[in-house]
Amino acid sequence: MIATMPSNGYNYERFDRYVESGAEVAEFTAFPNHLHAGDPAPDASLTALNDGTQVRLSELWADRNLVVEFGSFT
Amino acid sequence: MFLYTREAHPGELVGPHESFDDKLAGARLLRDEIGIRRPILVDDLEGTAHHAYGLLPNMSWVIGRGGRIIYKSDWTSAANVEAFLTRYEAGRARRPIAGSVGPYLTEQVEFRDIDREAFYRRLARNGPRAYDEFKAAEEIWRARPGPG
Repeated sequence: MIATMPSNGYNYERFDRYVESGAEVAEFTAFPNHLHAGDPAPDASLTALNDGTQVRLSELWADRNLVVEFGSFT
Repeated sequence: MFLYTREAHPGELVGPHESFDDKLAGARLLRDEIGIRRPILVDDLEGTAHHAYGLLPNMSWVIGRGGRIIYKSDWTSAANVEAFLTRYEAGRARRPIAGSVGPYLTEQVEFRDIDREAFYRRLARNGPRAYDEFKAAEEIWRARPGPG
């Protein structure tokens, strides 16, 4: 179970409070047992930065391998 | 492709997302200041895709054509992904030869370089409080009981 998140939730404002809440440890602890090689990949609808169109991951993996790197600027 | 999530270390200059426009602006920084040339896809404000894949800040996944997960890592190493894909495609190319090749699963530990000073400089770009809050988090980590 994910520990109590800071009051601003997913888009936390302060990294130290996010760590203090235990959410970061909970997320890293859950990761090894969350989805495995061989499982169907979760689909999602995303916004393409360059033209604003909606893109589904399943369109991208339909006929080729898809490398997905997650991250942010900071 | 790059999947843009919440900001991991928000500060005064690059803050947390309060709207989807904020989120698009953060993704533009990644493209225009860091110079990421791959297509950048932006998750929704609530992080629906990020939640689905496990919420880590710098993870990488490879999804095989058709939609099965073929690679999962809690860190992004371009060299590791590339080496994996080269092996995977070589094996897959041999599969029409009946009985000569079959898949197996593996789970490994790898090591990465850590450059704390470069990381601190990047935190300063987000705003002074991003650096201060990371230092505060280091104190919290230090105060926690270690393994064993």
